[in-house]
Amino acid sequence: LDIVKEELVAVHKSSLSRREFVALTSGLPLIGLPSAVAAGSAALTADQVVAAIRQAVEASGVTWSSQTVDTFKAGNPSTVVTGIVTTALATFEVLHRAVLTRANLIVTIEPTFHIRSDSPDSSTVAAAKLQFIEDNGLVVWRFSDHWPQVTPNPLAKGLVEAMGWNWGNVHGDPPRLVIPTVGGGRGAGRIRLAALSAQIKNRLKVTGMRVVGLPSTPVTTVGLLPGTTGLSDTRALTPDVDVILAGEVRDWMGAEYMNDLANAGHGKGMILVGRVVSEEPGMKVCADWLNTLGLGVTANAISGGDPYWRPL
Amino acid sequence: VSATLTAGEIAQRIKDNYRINRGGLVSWNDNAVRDGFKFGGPDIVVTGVATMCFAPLKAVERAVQAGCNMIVPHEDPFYGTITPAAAESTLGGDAIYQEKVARMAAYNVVIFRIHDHMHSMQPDFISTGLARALGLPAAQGGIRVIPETSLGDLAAEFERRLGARALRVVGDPSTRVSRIRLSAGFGNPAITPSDTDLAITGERPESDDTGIDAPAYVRDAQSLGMAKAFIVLGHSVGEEQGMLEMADWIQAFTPELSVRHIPSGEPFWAPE
Repeated sequence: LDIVKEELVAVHKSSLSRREFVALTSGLPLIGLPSAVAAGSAALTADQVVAAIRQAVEASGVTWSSQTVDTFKAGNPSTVVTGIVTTALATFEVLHRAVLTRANLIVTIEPTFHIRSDSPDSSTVAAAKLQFIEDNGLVVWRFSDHWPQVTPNPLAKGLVEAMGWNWGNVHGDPPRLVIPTVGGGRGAGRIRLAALSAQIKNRLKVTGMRVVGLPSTPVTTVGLLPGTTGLSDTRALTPDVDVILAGEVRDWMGAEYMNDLANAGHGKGMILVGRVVSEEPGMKVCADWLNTLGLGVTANAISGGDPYWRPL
Repeated sequence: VSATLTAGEIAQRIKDNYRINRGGLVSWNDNAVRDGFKFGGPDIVVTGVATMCFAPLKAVERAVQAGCNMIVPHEDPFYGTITPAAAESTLGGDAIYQEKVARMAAYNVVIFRIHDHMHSMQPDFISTGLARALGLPAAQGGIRVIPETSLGDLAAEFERRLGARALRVVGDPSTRVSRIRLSAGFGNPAITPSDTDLAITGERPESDDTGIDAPAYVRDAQSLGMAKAFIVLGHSVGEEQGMLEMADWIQAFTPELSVRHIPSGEPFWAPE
């Protein structure tokens, strides 16, 4: 890694001092647990934790796919787990915070090395990240294909809970619900798309939110499409809801489809919070779920937040 | 009394002038499935031509009101289904599809899409139009160099220049940027090279891409103190700009009719 460090420092000397870089990549407390620790019989390795996760997923009726990205991405799977961090995206910052909480197994929905293949060779940044993971005895495991298949849809459940809505009102696939009216008594009424968007933006801390539809559109029913979804998902949900709360759709598919619907006077809308933001609450649900599996260690969700912001 | 022009005649002029644009060496490819008639047909008599990035119903109606019944979009009018047959089989049961088709037929609209051929023209109007709109210099070795500025100031200037409502940025606003890789649409400009501070595109998967996930990469690069940033313009906003150049190009060989750029309109807005 020294070569990588040298290269990074050489290339980006103007913006990064060696002291800062070394502090970031190796100045953190090393957990140093792995094979050196004679753990008690209750202590599970990352391998064993993942086997327990798989068992629980299969027990819930989900078939484990042989063609899956849900594999170890970095670190030694035989590492004894001291704590679990769940996240939608294991950014450097999330990894750093995991180390500070003395957790060493990272469970992430999205890739860690900025590419689907999760190849740490994709860039010097990815190489530095791998070194940070190894230096701190972390193990990274991806949970992307199977976690969203668990019933009830944990990503949708996370969104509903984060919004303070009632999961008991949710039905259908994709999931949908009637959201609370605003105000009370005689003044009670349907919330408008603009107000609902602002509410979601504040609750989910979305700094890069985008909305399709007329701001004055009244909203009673909301459909949920966390993560990334295609035109068929948008089309399937649209007739039954006023607004779709989604992570990411393709601009030329779902967004333009909703654009036409809304402008033709059909009173529809789509709120795009971003893929990672839409998945973070579902990883809080994941941490809660892991804590019911009797793994002997605690799982906590850590969110890296919205990557996007909007200019003033 | 001017002679009437059909959509087929205008399409033929577009094809002929494409070949001229390519130095007589490359002909229009009728097998390029993204390009060609997407609604209506060559026999429709044209009253005026409107270029636009997408062809949302609202913008098509604006064009019709402006006297243009031939729409030349860069993107697919039926949400990425690509061919009229696929649009019909995929969307045939959709109320909004039926409504759009019925209204456009009533207006006698004809849609002739130019996507692949637009990108292969010399120059690619998508690229030159966007650089013009953003006030960026020509690229040297893929990089456009501007006087060093903060990402926050630059993003605000871009949004103002584009009249955009929902541009999104990744990277600390104080990041100093000067060396830019500009793309548009679904392009994936390289963010990892050391000669690049800022990559710009229209849209991209936020994560799990087969190429580099720029948003995730930029966050981690910034954690290492590197000056890296990413701006997402929106597919429509990014590729809309060059439709002005496209209108001027078609107008030059279609003097009988008015050819104008009527923006398709950014589909997004951002809440307060």
